Amino acid sequence: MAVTYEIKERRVIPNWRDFNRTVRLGELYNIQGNIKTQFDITRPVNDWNDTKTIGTAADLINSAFIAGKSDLKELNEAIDFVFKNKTDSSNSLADLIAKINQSNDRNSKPEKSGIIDLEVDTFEEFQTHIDNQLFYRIINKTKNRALKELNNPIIWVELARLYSFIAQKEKAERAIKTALQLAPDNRFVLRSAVRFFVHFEEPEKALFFLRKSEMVKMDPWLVSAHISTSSLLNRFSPFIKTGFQLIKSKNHSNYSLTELASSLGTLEFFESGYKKAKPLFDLSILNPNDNTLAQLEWVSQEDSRFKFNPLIYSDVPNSFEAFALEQFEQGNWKEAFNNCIKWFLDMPYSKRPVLLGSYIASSLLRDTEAAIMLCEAGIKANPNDINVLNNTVYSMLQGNQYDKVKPYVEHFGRIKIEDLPQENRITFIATLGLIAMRGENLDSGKKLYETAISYAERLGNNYLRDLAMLNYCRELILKKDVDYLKLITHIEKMETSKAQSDIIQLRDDVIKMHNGIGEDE
Amino acid sequence: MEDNAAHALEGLVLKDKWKVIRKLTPGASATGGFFSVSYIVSDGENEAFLKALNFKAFFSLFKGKSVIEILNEQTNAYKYEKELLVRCRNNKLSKVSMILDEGEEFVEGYTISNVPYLIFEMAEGDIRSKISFNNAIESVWKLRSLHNVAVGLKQLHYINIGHQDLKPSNVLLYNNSFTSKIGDLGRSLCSEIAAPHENGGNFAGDFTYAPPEFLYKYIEPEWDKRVKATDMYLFGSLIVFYYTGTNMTASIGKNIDPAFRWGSWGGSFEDVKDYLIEGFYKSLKEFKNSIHREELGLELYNIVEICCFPYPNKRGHPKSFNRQFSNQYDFDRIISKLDILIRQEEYNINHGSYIRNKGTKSNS
Repeated sequence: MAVTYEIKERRVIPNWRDFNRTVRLGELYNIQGNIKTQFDITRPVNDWNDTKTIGTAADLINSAFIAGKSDLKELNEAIDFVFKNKTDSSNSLADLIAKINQSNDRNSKPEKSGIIDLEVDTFEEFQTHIDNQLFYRIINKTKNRALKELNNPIIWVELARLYSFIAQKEKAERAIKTALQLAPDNRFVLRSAVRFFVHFEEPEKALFFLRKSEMVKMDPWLVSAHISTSSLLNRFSPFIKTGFQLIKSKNHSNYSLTELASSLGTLEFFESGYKKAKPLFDLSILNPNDNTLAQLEWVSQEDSRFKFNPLIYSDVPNSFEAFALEQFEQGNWKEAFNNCIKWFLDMPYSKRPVLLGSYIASSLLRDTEAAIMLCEAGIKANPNDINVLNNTVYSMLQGNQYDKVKPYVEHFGRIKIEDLPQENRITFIATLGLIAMRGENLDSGKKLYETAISYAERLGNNYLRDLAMLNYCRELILKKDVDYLKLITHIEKMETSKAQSDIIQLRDDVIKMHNGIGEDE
Repeated sequence: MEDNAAHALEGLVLKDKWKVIRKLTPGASATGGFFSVSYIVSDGENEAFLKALNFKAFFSLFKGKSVIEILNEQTNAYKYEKELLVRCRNNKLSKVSMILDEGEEFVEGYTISNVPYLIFEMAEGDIRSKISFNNAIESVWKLRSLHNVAVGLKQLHYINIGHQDLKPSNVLLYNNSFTSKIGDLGRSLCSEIAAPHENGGNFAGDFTYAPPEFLYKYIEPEWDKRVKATDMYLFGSLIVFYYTGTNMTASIGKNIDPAFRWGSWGGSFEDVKDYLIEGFYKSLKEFKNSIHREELGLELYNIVEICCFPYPNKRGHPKSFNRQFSNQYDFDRIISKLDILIRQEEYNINHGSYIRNKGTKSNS
């Protein structure tokens, strides 16, 4: 049985992307309160008017760019001169001219939409993204760049991110710590570090580095990270009050406050409930990012009083998680799966898109090849994660690739069931049941499935009980074992709420299989 | 007739020595500026360049200020520059444009009849008149010119002057462009003489060539560090200009997101500096790739990297950081390196021509 979506209580932990994409999302901007420098470019203009050479042209072009002046007759003349004397010019000068022309063409307001979306519409494209050779070439190139640019914190963060994709924790940690040493107050570095330490299950370290920075007292993006990470550890951040003050101060844009409002909203949701959380979530979506959309989508699935449809926020870049969850809820499996792929490519160290995507592909779309490929990609960053391993084995068995599951099953053997969280035990035991049944140990398989079902019943988790039962029944039908008849009556009477469209689909599939047997007979 | 004595020197003989030949049109002067009118003068043997103080320009430039304040500023600025130039002459700085004479002419018939002036050795122009950014040609000339400028800065620093306004228009050419000298000390700073344009430590030179920290309103509090780190940046930026036609500040600006640029950024220099580094390294790579010979590109990359690092306290040779007896912003290592590069480049050119000649001979 596949694990669907691991997270029990979602927090607004910063999403970690490469620098260029993070910049373009606007999370690092600080455009309020700019004090303009006064520039005087009379000298280069006069010099150009006096003597027209490539040197005076370049001098004027540089000065105009730095001064932000692009509407001068003389500047246009100088640009023309450069183009007419290309043999004396350089690519850098041509690039600078292009930037000046760009600033003439568009409003200087930062663009946010339509710049990041990963165009991965086919599975073949996805495969190129997980090409091992290409990936190691990128890591090598980045490592060499970092060694050349020892004082550049951004490239060290990028190296840590790449190492995280392949679960090289020690190397990744060395790289992120180098970045933190170079830039201990930088928003990008700190937020990346927070996600890094949370990903490797060391949120204490994330809090340590946040606390070390003075910026955590004044930057809403960092205050939010501190509140959410503390909450993961069931602690109250000392910056909660600061967070509320920052919101009240009205010194920050709605976009700068989106994660802070969402973090505080989540806190209120857990502590006080709907009424206090609602205004904060309302603030969080005045100008949301992908993280806050996903957060509200998760909250709305937890509490139906939050009416929310993230799909109307199509202009918010990289909202793949929120869209995947919403499409999943609506039963649009194909769209949900595509968003899982994009979500994974956006954050390849994250296991949640792998779990949800592989579940959808293997159980609902019955595209086991796609599920296996996604799992194999996800295993790189999470090689010891029991849920990713579970879904890999499940997908392989659904694809009748029993021979391939051996190494993973050996890994299973080392796992102590009592060490697993309760929900995971149900899924894990059911998958052991599946392995046994596919390995022709029918009786043992049956026992394991039944244990999983009764365990789910004991925990009162109807969703997992139904899921286990449907999987069990399906296997019995495939094995043409009449015991499935004991289950089918129960399955036909299954109560399914609207939120469980996956259960409805799986139930219909099983009933169809059962009816098919009847017709065959 | 315009009531401006500074414009009426043509034909006069100054100090019984310097005949004023002709007035230069604005902008044509090698070391011109808003505050001065430029002339060609001759002592009968050599032509020289005269810079006459233009009082009227000062009045128009500082509208709204009291006359006393303006006169005080003009006098101070003139006296200051003269003092620096005399100091340079007395110390025989070979790579700084030298003052030949100075004085004050009384021209009758004007509201302000006194015209203070400075006479400099005559330059052939500044490097903008000769430079091409096609780097396969004149590489030795470029390196030699940069070597001269580095020596000039070293000489200025030795007598406690920081130039602060180094840019292409202030690199003057002499001896058929074989020699380059630094000109225009008008915006320079000296640790021993208070400058009228000190301006609380803010950048004294042309802001369109300023190191990035000044564009984000950051002022390094320590005078020596600030002034020398600024000259070092301006020198590195000049290297980049020689080879690409863009200065380092423009190049960094080009390679960062527009929202991080000085015209948009609302935060402090502290908050933006790490993003400038990312842009800085892109600029460096671009610079290196624009140089025709890989080895030379790499050597110049290293020099520019230590000169133009976006934080002032990380400029200079890393080996001299935090050393008690070494100056982080010293030009010695750079001068030596440029010297070697000139020789290597000369060797490469000669070696290349040798092979070509040999080929021609065997063919014949």
